[in-house]
Amino acid sequence: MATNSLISVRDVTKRYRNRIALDHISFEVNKGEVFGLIGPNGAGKSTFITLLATINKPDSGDILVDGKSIVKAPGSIRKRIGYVPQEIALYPMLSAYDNLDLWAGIYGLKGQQKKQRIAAVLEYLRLGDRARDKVGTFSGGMKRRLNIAASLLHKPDILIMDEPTAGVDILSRTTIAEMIKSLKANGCTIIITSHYIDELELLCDRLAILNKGVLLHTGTLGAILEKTGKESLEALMLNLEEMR
Amino acid sequence: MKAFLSILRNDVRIVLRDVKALLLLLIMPVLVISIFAKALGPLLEKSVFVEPFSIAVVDKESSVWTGILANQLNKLEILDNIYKTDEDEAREMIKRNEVAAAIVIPENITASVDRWEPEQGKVIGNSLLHLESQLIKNIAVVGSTSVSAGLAELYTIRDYEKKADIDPDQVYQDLVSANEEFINVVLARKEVFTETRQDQFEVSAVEHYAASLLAVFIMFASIPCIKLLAQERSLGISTRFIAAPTGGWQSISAKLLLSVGISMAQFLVVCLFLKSAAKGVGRLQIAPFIPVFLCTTVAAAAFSMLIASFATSPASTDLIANLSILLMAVIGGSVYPLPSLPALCRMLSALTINRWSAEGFLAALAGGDAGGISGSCKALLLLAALYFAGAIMVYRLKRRRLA
Repeated sequence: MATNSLISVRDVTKRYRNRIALDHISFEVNKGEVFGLIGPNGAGKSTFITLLATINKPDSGDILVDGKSIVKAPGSIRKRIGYVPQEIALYPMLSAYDNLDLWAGIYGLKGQQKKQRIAAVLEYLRLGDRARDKVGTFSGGMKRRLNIAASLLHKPDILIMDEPTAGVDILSRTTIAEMIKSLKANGCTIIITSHYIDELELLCDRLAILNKGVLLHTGTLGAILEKTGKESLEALMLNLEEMR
Repeated sequence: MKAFLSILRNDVRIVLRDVKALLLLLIMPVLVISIFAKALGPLLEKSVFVEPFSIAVVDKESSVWTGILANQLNKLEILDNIYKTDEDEAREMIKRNEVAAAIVIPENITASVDRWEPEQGKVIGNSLLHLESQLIKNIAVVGSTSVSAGLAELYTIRDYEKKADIDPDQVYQDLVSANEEFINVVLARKEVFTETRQDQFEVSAVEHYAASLLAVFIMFASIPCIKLLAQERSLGISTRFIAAPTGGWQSISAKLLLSVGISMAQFLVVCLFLKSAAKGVGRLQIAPFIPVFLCTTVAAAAFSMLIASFATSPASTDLIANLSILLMAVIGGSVYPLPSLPALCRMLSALTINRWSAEGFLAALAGGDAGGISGSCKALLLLAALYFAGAIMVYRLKRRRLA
């Protein structure tokens, strides 16, 4: 185990009926790093995210966050994580401000502190001028940014992002990438899944490559490429797709 | 607690956005109770679905006797109008659905009776008013049977007098007087029937429908909240709640509490309406209502959980909720009094909130019969437990299917 390990995944297995979504996977995520999960569709990325976000429980094995089990102490972990789901989990009939007001309240913010934090997060994700507009009127990219904003209000030290840039414009992708770098600079640990290989290459310190629930490789991009003998992550992914 | 209040405030904010729907939820009970009381109130004391109807009488003889016979029909309360007309017009009236049946009294019926060979009358029925036609047929059959019985009596008199060698003129006179006496007895026969008034509904029509429909409104009050729950589920917000310090249950609890709040507002409006309707009578006591209201609300909340467990989207929630509330209203006696419904409906009504809620509210309205109220409350709580168990079972099955 690495000395600065924050998240320890230990022999985790998760089944959906007869299908194994995660098959005895183990790895570590270090404090303050951006850790990418990559793999073809059905590889088990989102399943792992739901386990880490304490939405589901593993059938066997455990994930320890700073030594605390997601199975035994999900409550204490939930306060520390920010979860960005793949869906736009926001109320379209409410304004951006009202949506954030709900999540700020859920995370225990109140009064002036709440207002300031909402305003700061909106500015951070370049949505300050649309605070009072209904989310239903936003573009896809703006909704994605607001989806992330809702999970940053309580300043989590672990941010779990499931496909945060799926289907967004280049401006929003850039904004989100800048935000990830900035959060990392502030010591936040980020676990991210994405279909955009270039994005993961650029942002992630380390990667885990999954296929059909099996952890194939873990490490830095350079180490993975060296081990697999591939020129690029894209070539590796293409190889995985061909094997399916 | 902070998180719970935050979710509750957010739910109130969303529900309040649709002010028109909310106002409708508050005003509709009073409107619907008034309409039901006005439209269906007169039927409350009837045990069948037959309202007064009209018939046609075709009197082909037009004698004093047939006139008396036709006039006897006027005394039947179930008959609205009796049109005296010819057979062709009577048939046309049936086609136009103006009359439920036509009674045809044959020509020379009196003479045929005198000849000991009575002519057959007939009844022409209207298939669209089957029950009413059957009633008229039965009246005619009873009339014919009476005539046959009378004739049998007359045959006996004639045979005995023939054997006694009595003068034929005297026999004829005896028969005529016997005939008259028999007809008088038959015409007086209606006195054998008396009706004992049951006093089943000791409340006014408005009170009856308020009691019957309150459960419906309480169930409707939960629809905005369960729709919101379905929307949260389809948008992935519910999953996000699970990953937050709230867990999923606080969102569900907030919605249940909100639906209770809306129900209470409705209940208050209905109570004010009943209080004003009972002005002058001065008997309406609100206190006995409260336990029934609370138990109905608990049962309705469990019912809405069951609906939410089945529904997959706000649209399907709307559909399932509206249809099941409508079904419950019909089976549970909210629309038409339970004693008038078929046996199967009465049996199934035990599974509806409407039945027990209405019985409890009626007991409360009729003077706060504690036994009636507590019995209804127990049944409502039992139903709540059943619905809640059903909801958990469906949720678990769904989770297992997903897994």
